[in-house]
Amino acid sequence: MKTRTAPDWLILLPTLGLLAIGVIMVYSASAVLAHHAYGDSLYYLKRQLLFALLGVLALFVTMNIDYWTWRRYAKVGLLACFLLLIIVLIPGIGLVRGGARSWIGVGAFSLQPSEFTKLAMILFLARYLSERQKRITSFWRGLLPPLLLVGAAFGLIMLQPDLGTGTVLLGTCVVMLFAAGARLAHLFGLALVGACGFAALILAAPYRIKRITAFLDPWQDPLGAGYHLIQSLYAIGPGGLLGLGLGASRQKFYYLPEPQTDFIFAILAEELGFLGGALVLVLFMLLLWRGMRTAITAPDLFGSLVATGIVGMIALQVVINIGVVTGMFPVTGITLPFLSYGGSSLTLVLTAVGVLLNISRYAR
Amino acid sequence: MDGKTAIKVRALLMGAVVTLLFFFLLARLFWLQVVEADWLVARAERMWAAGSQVPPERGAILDRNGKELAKNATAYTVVATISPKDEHRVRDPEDAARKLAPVLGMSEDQILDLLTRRDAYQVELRPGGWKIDREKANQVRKLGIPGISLVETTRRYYPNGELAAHVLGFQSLDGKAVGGIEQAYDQALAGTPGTMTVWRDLKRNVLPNGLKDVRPPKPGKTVVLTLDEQIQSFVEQALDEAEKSFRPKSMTAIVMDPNTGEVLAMANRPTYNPNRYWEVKDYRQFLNGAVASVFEPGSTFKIITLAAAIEEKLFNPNETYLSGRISGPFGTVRDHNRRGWGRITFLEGVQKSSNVAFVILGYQRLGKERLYQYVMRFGIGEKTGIELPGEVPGLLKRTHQMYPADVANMAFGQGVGVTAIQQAVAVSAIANGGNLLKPHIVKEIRDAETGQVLYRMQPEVRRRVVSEATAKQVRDILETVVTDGTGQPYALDGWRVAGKTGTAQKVGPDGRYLSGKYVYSFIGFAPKDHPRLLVYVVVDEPEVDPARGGGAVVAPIFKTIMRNSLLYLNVPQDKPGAPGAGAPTVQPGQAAQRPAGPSGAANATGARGDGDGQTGYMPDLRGLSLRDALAVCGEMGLRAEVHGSGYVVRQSIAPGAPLPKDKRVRLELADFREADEN
Repeated sequence: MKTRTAPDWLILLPTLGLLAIGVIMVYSASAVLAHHAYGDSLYYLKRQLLFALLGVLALFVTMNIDYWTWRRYAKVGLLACFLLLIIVLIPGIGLVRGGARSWIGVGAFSLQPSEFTKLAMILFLARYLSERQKRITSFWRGLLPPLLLVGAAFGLIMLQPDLGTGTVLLGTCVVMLFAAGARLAHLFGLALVGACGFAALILAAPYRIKRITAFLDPWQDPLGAGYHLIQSLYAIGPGGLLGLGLGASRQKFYYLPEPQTDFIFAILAEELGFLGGALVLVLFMLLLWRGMRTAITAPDLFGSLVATGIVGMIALQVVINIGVVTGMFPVTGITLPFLSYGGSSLTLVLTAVGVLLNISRYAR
Repeated sequence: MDGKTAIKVRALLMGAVVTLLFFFLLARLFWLQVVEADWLVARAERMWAAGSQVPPERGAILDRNGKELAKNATAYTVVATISPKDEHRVRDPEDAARKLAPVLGMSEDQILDLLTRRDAYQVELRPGGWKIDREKANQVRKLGIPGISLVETTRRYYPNGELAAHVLGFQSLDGKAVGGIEQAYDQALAGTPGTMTVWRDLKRNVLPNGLKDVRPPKPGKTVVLTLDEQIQSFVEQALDEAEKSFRPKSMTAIVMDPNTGEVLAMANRPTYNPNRYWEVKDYRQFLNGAVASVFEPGSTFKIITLAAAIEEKLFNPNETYLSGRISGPFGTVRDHNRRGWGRITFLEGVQKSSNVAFVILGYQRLGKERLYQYVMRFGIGEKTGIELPGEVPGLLKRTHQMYPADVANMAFGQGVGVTAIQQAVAVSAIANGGNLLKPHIVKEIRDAETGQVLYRMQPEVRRRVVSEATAKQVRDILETVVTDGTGQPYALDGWRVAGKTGTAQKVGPDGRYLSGKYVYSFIGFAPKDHPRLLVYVVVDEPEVDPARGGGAVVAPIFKTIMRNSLLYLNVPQDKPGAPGAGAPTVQPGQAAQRPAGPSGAANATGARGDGDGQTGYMPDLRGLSLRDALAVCGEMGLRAEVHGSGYVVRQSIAPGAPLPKDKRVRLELADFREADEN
């Protein structure tokens, strides 16, 4: 029988710390735009606070629900998510923002099904793999079926199109497969196929080529493909070691578009400097390390895989987001967990951490 | 190994990879924020920094007493917001156009075209709504049309309208200096723009703490002219009256101090109002005729021939010759009355402006070379160098191109082209004792902020042209022209005037003289022995009976200018027994202590002007002689517009009333007895 202990504080505290920093930074980054667009500089702050409250609530709920409960709902959950992923593509129901039909609107609030799909997929895949752990070394019987499922979800997400979330979903699943013991040869083969697929996707939408080359030399097209990155660098660079001071960002004055979402780390680095940025990275690092430890010490394979998936998802998002903002990766729309403005992504990631915390309570 | 062990190993591996990636991120962040920061900051600054120029204030143009002739004024431009994106746009263009049209003086269609443009966010309603004055701006404001706003700006303003328009030139609404001092001294007046570097956001608003560098503009320098606003006003008034009566094609008048070369007044007709320069259809109207028009001077040119003959001791006033006509290699020259006056002395010949006398003096006695030398030495055919744009050198043939007829004609002022300023400067040399001066219209250039004088005009002798004695003899003879000769209509009560009339028949496009078309002129100076003022008046093609001649047209102009100016300058009278000579004079500053005039003592309290005439009340000028009235006006900073002669009987501003802003007062004068009867 599993004995329940206290959750891992070293996961909970960094999470709440990052959340606090995030809420403050959302306010600082968005106040100017919010005032301009809504005449209320607190517009985004109020909503983000509400999301954070909801998220923390969800975190405490999931922290106290035994994680194996999710096993039972994994299939239904994923099915529901697939349904939503299809519904969101229907014009009139799905809302287009920033060029992607990713939202289902309910009054003033809206949901992003692809965000929830990530968690549902983690739970489902963990169940699937933990039940068929022996078959994982087989390509056709072990690896391919879950891959097809993930591929289907990825395909639906790419129809929105939302390359960022799709990439995270795909990456998270690969991490889980790897953790579950898939053969490296298979994975490398898959990587090759994936690379070809990526190339095909890029060729299908030429704007992605520009985006991909732009991060190498953003100054080639400073007003086009390189614009986001240049504006981001103009925030980070002048931030320097100590930053311009909280609230003192210049780039949030219309230069950096939507500074409260994907590029919030640039504003953070501008206002709080290298030290602030490093603090955020260290908090993430701590959280991820403890999460990884939870994966290792989980009492069963399902728990291990769920933890791995959640940690992998957060790690991927952090690495890609900050990589994009600092010009190491092509610009892709991925939120920074806990920090970026956005109801779906924030509540989802907090819920996921809640699950992770619950697993940590059964660590051996 | 079982699943759990595999997971442990692989999870540790992933943990290591993630840690490594995080170190990459940290290193990248450090690279951007510490190592590469300066480079990024420099580039970012280029994006934030918006250098802007702060226009300097244009320097004022003042008259010699510091009165503003050109200054800067607040103006308003009507701007319409028309973008459909803007909430506060003009929503009903037809209605707006209908309401604005009468106020802006534009047609409804014109305004509607502007209001319905699709390529602009905002439009300025030019020309009617461009840099309008406060009054008109208020009218626009009162209409209360949504989407119509007023933007404050500045424009050049000429407080006296037409006064000295040709000397001043103007600055157009778009900032271009055209003509006159505005153009010639554009660089000095313009000043240096200030620069301001501010950091702006993408919407061009200044970022918090965005003010990085401010270098204030340096205002333009103040240009002080030699003009005297009051004397200029006498001239303008006299020309206005002549224009009304005789409708001449053009007129020019110059008032100079012959001792220093300072131009005290210079005016031309037709003229224009530099505040509304766009109303001028013929651009030649902007030309300053006094320096830019060439004409045949006619008989006033004889002064040069006379001076040359005296200097060369070839002139004996009492020697006689046969007037009427003279023939020679030059053909036949006749006197203007064609018959002559029989055998007369050369003095009489000068007085009667006999062409024959001057052919003898100039052609026969001086001869081509010597006459030509003198004409050149008097500055004919050479720019005077006055500080005005557009000056021309006149027309003087070269000696080797001159036929005998040219030489003979030149001796009495035909076949030679001069500018009015040349002629005025040449005769000034006679008035001042023989020195050809460089004429000046700019007296000082001052730093607008400190008031420090950067340039001060000094009288400049170009050369001596005749001796003192010759000059004196010419002056004496020219006085007899006024006392006994053709210049009799130009005599003044109180001062001895010396001068010479001129009547030149105009040359048609075919080179032949036109009948009935004359240029009438008079050049004279006073007081005769110590001339303070030289006045030159040229009237082109007045509508006047040639039999009445220039006396009817030119004399009133000349006399008004000369008399009023002499009075205004308080020049002592040199003609004994003239009426008004013994009238009490009011010393500057003592106006309040003068004996009570006909209207009592109480009125005098207002006369205590405070020197610069900024505040104060209208004094009672009634009963004062013109000289005294002008003295009081000068003391109060008032500009008098004088009508009639004798003593002040009416004044346009009631005694004790506050002084008007434009400081203008109209004085009507009449004979003293008349005033008594009132």
